[in-house]
Amino acid sequence: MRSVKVTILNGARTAEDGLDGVQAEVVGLVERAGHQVTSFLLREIDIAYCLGCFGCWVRTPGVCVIDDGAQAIARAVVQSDVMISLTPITFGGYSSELKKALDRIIGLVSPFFQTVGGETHHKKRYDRYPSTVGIGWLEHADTHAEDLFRALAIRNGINMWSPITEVAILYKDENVETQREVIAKALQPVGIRS
Amino acid sequence: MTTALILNGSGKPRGSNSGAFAAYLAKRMIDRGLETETVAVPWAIRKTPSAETLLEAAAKADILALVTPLYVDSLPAAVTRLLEWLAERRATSPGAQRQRLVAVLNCGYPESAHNRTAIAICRQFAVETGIEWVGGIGIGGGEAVAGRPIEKLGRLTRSVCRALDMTADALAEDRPVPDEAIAAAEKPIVPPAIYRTVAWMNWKHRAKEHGAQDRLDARPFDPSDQTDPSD
Repeated sequence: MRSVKVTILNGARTAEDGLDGVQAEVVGLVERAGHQVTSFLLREIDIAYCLGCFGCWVRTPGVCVIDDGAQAIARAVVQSDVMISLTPITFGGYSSELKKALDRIIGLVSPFFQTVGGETHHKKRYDRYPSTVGIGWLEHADTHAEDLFRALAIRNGINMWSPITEVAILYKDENVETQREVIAKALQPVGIRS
Repeated sequence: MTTALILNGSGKPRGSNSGAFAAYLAKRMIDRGLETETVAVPWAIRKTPSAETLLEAAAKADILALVTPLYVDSLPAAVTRLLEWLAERRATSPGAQRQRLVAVLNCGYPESAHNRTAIAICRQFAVETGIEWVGGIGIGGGEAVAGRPIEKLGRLTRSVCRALDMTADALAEDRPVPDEAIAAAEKPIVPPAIYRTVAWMNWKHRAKEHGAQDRLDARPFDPSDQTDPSD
């Protein structure tokens, strides 16, 4: 069995978001399956907001011009086989903590364009990119927010050249066993089998 | 008088395309009798005093007009942070007056369809916070504007100006953003094939200004290619 390198980006805004427990579950599943995992608790890392300057494309190609915690995250993500994002589903999207990191790693793709499925997207900078798993956390079921979260994760997967994109949605009142099953089901297609 | 707070979501301190769209929308709203104030969100939320001033202004405004670039298929992180704060405030003190939200997204891809997920996020924010959603328009190929006043760009931005005119009319007359405005905004500023070619030349030109024209394809985090990007 090939060892899979996994990077977890935890976008919980506070310890009360419920995702720190989910992170522990995911780490356990990945490690028990014999794979390597690196986790980033984003709210505890100094990451500035993206300036929209495109310096990561035209000034220091591939690297953001702001030297802070986002640099290590960009490196870890592109050197991974799987990137797992954990986030409270926020208006159908990601938390500001997760988004802050994602905004800062666009240098992983090229500024140049190519057409994919009739739409313009950025070309690859690297030969390979990680598969992605988006794990969203909700207080209670909300069809609109869940559909939007899935759509966003899939759009991100296209733009970041992910070979496989999976989505899992967890609810606050679910028991741990159910959550574990949902997470395990999302991890299977990206090569992590418990 | 109806008050509108225009929230510019661009991270650029000056010369942003969102700033150009916001300035045009502000002028048209003022022409129609609305009182406007424009705030650069990523800068305002960095310090507690300016963030507090912004949150107070947002609580009082009759209209919130979010004019923002698309970052990674959705709203920039700074805008998301502001929306999180606004939602928290409204959960504890909903406010007595009716508020409306309109969104104007622009993206660097030639197709405006890339903006749809972000517009849907704005709508979801409005639904969850009890703010009235009046609609969103998505502009593709925003980089063609290059931060210039859009009323001075002639044919290039004619459709976008029309879309923003109709949006200002709708806000002044307390109507939803009409489908015509959404369709006008979605009309490509530049045909996609031409946009991609011009963008290719533009990236080369901008990289040359920084002496980076030969390193545009660098792979600094590839273990087999350790070119220092600052060389």
